[in-house]
Amino acid sequence: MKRYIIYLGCMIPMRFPSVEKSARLVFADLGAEIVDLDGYTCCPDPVLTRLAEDEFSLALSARNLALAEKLDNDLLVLCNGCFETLVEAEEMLRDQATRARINAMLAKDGLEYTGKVRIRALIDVLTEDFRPGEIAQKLTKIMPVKVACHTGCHMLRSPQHPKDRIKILEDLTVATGFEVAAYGRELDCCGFPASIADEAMAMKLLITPKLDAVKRSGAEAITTGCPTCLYQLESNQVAMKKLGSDIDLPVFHILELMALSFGHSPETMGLELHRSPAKAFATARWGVSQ
Amino acid sequence: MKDNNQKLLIFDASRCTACHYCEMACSYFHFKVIDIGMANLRVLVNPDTGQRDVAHCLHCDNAFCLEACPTGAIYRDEATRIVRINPMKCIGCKSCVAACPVGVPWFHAAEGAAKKCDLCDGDPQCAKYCSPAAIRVIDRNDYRKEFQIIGGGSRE
Amino acid sequence: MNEPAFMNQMPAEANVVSASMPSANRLFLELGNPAGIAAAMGFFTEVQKARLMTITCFETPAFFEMLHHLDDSGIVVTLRTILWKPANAFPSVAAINPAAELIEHEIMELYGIIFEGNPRPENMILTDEWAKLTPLRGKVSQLDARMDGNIATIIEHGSTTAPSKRVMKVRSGMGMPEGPPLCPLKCPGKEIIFTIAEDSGTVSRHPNLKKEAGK
Repeated sequence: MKRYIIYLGCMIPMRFPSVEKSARLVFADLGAEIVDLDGYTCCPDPVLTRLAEDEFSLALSARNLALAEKLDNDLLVLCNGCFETLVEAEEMLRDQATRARINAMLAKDGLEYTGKVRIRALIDVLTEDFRPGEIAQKLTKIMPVKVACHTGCHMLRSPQHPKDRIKILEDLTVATGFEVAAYGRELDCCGFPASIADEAMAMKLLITPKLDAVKRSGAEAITTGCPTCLYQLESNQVAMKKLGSDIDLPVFHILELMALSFGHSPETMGLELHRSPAKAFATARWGVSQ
Repeated sequence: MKDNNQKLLIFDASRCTACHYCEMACSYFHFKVIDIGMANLRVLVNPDTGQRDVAHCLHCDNAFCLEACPTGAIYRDEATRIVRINPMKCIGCKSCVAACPVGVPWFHAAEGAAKKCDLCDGDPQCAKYCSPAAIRVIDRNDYRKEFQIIGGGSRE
Repeated sequence: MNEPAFMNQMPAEANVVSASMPSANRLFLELGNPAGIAAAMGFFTEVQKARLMTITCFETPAFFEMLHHLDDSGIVVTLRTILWKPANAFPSVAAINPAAELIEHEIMELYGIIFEGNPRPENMILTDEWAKLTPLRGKVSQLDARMDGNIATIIEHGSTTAPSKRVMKVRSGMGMPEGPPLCPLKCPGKEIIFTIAEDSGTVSRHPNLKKEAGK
């Protein structure tokens, strides 16, 4: 039986518990066991906290990895940001001097990082560890929805070319029974970092063109693998509506779409916490009960 | 005086997501603020076509900014071949701003001095924080080869 | 350039983290934190009999650079200390070297930095209507102000996002636990994260953390 240590991060349990719920449902359906990482903390975020306090950031990342090492399984990371932070921390901790310095801090907590744990992103686990057939045979409610995929920047931290990384999410969406809408701006950032620096610029140069392209492609929904992109794509649609935009597309995490297609009821998934019409859309398409 | 092991930045537009993290990391490293207007490199995005480019310093062998500087404030660090600005000598004439064909130097009004890329003293933050590795640090030796791979579209 | 022999006698409390000597008569010493300035100044004044030339203050968005320039028998020694903005207080050296008193006053009034231990805390240079203003001080960096809160949240909740009541309600409605396995809520304890923050030097750069997220 496949067994994964699950790393949820902050955004998923605190903002989108629907994604956490879906993850538990989907992996249970696929016959994989999920082990919770007790006592983990924020990863912390891959850019801002690291820019300001790199040593503190690295120590917290190492602490999370050290906790995961004790459980001796692959670490399944549900959030793009956490994935990049942990992967980069792993790279930095290959340096023996750095590792010794960080381990001295962790020793007070009775932990030690040795570099054993394998960090894996959600989309990699779903495509590498499960055959397309395994997912296909669980699909009980296939809805021919046209979906636009957004992979997210932090998922691209990989030796693979970004275009190939984007393909992984698209293939996964197809394997889950959806039609992928090609909108030409798959690589574009959701605009979350840029809006920290300059909101108006991010809106004008990144978000509006991206969502316009999605709309033009005829997509009925957007899917992403990253909770921060999910948050950004939703809250920006709200902001754009105030400026007179008519774009109102539901945004889903890929796990939510999988849970829906596996036949779970949209009523009991906590979709009401989305700021886009995700719940209304899911109820209209997948129905109230099974 | 060419140094083929000189470290340089290289940009690959096909990997760039236009997230602007490079500019944020740059401005935070140099000025401790997140302000993309204060970065030593610029991400240029065309909202209509989605084309993007990054204007970054190449630390040219015959640097236009260095030649244009009337006071000798711009100099080349011989050990690393990095072209730097000494703010104490800079008189704020903006000759370098006009001279650079890429448009890297910019005028910092509050300090009254021009600013440009200094490769973060050997650990460029833009490359460090670029998730898709669109900006990378490579040797000058490999530059022509890598540039042909990027420009020649060997992928397509 | 070889460092002068007196470098070996520098007291450990001064916490000199780096030294550079670009020419035979110029020495830069960087102190690890403001607390070391008393020991460093004491050494140069009492042992080396150096003369305090001046103190200068340079502002960057996140911190002040405090530069004590001394003349040690022909070598100009500059003690460079970083004062992170949230701290806003620097130890006075007026008790060690009285010449510092007026210079510290100038910095105090123009930048609004408090010199702890300066014998006369009232304004001496600015007129009454300027008393509350700090004419040379720029704005606090937006990130640094926010970073304080951000790191405090990480220490407090183990996460960058504080939990909201609405989300908790939805979670319990779905039968999902509030405590474990929602791990940042069952945060291992502020003490552990705070200790990491202390060990990594984060607390010294964000002194407000002590109040907000203290043990």
